[in-house]
Amino acid sequence: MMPENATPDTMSYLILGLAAVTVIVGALVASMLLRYRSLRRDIETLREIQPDAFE
Amino acid sequence: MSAVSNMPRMSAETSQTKTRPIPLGLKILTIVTVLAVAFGLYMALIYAGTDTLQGVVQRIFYFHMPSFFGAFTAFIATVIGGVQYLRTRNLKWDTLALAGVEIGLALSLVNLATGSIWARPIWNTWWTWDPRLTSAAIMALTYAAYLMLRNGIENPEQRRRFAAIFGILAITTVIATLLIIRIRPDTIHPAVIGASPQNAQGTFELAATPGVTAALLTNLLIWALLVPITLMWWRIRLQNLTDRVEALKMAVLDR
Repeated sequence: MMPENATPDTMSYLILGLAAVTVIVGALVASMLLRYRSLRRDIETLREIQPDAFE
Repeated sequence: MSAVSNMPRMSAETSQTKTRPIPLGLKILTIVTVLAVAFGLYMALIYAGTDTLQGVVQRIFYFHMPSFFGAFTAFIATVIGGVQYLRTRNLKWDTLALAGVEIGLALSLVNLATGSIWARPIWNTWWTWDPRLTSAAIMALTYAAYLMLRNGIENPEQRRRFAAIFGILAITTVIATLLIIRIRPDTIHPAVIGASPQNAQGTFELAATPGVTAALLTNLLIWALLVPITLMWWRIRLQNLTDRVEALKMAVLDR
């Protein structure tokens, strides 16, 4: 039997907290990366449509 | 009208079809930030001792509080950007303000999520409408509203002016969140610096466990300064590219 003043086992909440930090910051970074790639694709499309606009 | 007034700028930018090279300063800052976050994790998870009352979940605190101050840093950038935009009408300040909101909102969500996860074993609930938690939620929702309302305004000049004023006024929600544990005695949210409110639950003494102060100061430096500044710099670059692509589209349509 555990003594009354034993340190509680809260490891699962720590892991959940670290996962939350990773997911939120990761989502922000991924969103910026996806938007950057989308803009690069837009530039390529514009270049194909109107090559002389890039001269 | 605003699109017409922007035409000279757009024409000038059509030649800039390639992404501007990443500045050396940003490269170094990004590497330093990634290494610092890893070091901060070491300080929080290994170096600092375990709180005997709360267990290891107390270590969430090393990200919970610093992420709030990271959001604070970003939202201060929004105020600076807003004030400067209204003074000068220079687009770079509007870009800074926008970057501050986006990064600050993400860090606010980190703050809210980690707080909620910590509260479950300590307060026996994921959420309660405590004054501090409520003000933090209002703060995050205010900045989410900034992004939604900003995207809803068609006229670029009107959008930037509205965003500048909104961003300046929204800082009151951040200050209220900071101060509310000092003025509302009924909050159960503990204070780390200074005395906790009378009803606070889940308090801990910085000096009671070895390594806590060092881990807190390290992560505060990382999450309140390095992380928001690095992310804002990248976000500013993204916005500059967005503006250049918009200018290119206008130029192609004009031909």
